[in-house]
Amino acid sequence: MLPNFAYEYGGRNLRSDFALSGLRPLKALCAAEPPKVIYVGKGETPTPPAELMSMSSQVWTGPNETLSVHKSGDLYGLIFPDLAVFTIHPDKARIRVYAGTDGATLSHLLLDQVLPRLLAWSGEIVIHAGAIVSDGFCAAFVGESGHGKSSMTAGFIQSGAQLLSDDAVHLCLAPDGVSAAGLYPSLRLWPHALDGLCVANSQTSEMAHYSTKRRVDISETTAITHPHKVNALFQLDMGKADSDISITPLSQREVMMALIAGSFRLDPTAQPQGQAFFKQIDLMKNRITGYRLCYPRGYERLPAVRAAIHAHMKESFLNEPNYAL
Amino acid sequence: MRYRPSPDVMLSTVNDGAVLLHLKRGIYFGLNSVGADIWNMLNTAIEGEACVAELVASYEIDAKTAADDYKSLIAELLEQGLIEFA
Repeated sequence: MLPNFAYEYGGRNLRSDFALSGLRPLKALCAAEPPKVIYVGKGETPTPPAELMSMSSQVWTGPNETLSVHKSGDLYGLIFPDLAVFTIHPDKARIRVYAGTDGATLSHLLLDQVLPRLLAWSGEIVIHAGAIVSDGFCAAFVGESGHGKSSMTAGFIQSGAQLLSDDAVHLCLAPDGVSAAGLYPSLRLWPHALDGLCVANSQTSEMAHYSTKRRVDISETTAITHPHKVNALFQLDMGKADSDISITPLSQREVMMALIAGSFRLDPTAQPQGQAFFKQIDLMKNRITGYRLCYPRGYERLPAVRAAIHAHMKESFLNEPNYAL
Repeated sequence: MRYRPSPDVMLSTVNDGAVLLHLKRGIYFGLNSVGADIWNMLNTAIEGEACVAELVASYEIDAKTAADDYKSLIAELLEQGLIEFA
């Protein structure tokens, strides 16, 4: 079947033979196809290749066993138990979907879990991070799950910042720094975050049937699709409700560890990809300024946290040229 | 017992230590300045008591602390496959 739907994702053309929620269709299809295209289609058989489902083919398993990655020859299988199986032929940038789940869940797994790993396999650095541009500076937020990446990002958006991404950010080496771009303009929040951040009146849709998180519609004026120089990487450390706000520099080692820990990888044991990955992270360590942001739990304290970040950024980067690439 | 860094490990030196990546296992490991010095000494076949003596001289720590740090790091590096028996 020929792909019927065309989208932009991570600076590439994404062609799918079924509709994907959460992505904007390409406004016009170019006659001359850009060189980098990702193809997504339904599996040609009802079930994925048996060799990919065996335990002996397992490469790694994610936290809580919500995802396991398998390999057979050049083919990778990403198994989301009880939800879907995706096969990836990374050299051909082809993804096949074997799923018995609904469209929103399928789109979420594809956009937020599978495609970032395909891009990572092809040599891109993609990190779990929220990223915004506010008053001309770009900040990326990394941290463990539950430390407030999406809420911090959403809070900035509510106060007028522009969105790069709430979860997956593509980093590239630039002449005098590192640039960041969102893979697609996404913002997904728990119901209590929608209420706490006063986003409850926004248009939202289901993210996935197994989660109460909602996907927030982002206007085209709010989202930035072009890369922007990263001024600061904040490692989020959410404390108790009465914790103080503090911003302290990360060492080079801590920046590297944060980037590695936060990176999407398809196969961390693939050696050529591992070498290329580590070389890029090594070059980025001197080009990204990192901070540990300790801040109190509670949505009502977020305005004060944003004010502290603004003040810090103005003081630290007042004379540094910012640019959008 | 002699040790050497695994040939499958890549190293990045940073101003406060080093970061290691094991290419076949896909694991990464951060070394502080003391750990990075121990790693560098393993690379030049300085280990055991000689390594501990260097740490005592460089960091003004007592021999027991240096020996404990050395043993602890070596055990962890071995467990992670980042070093191997020479």
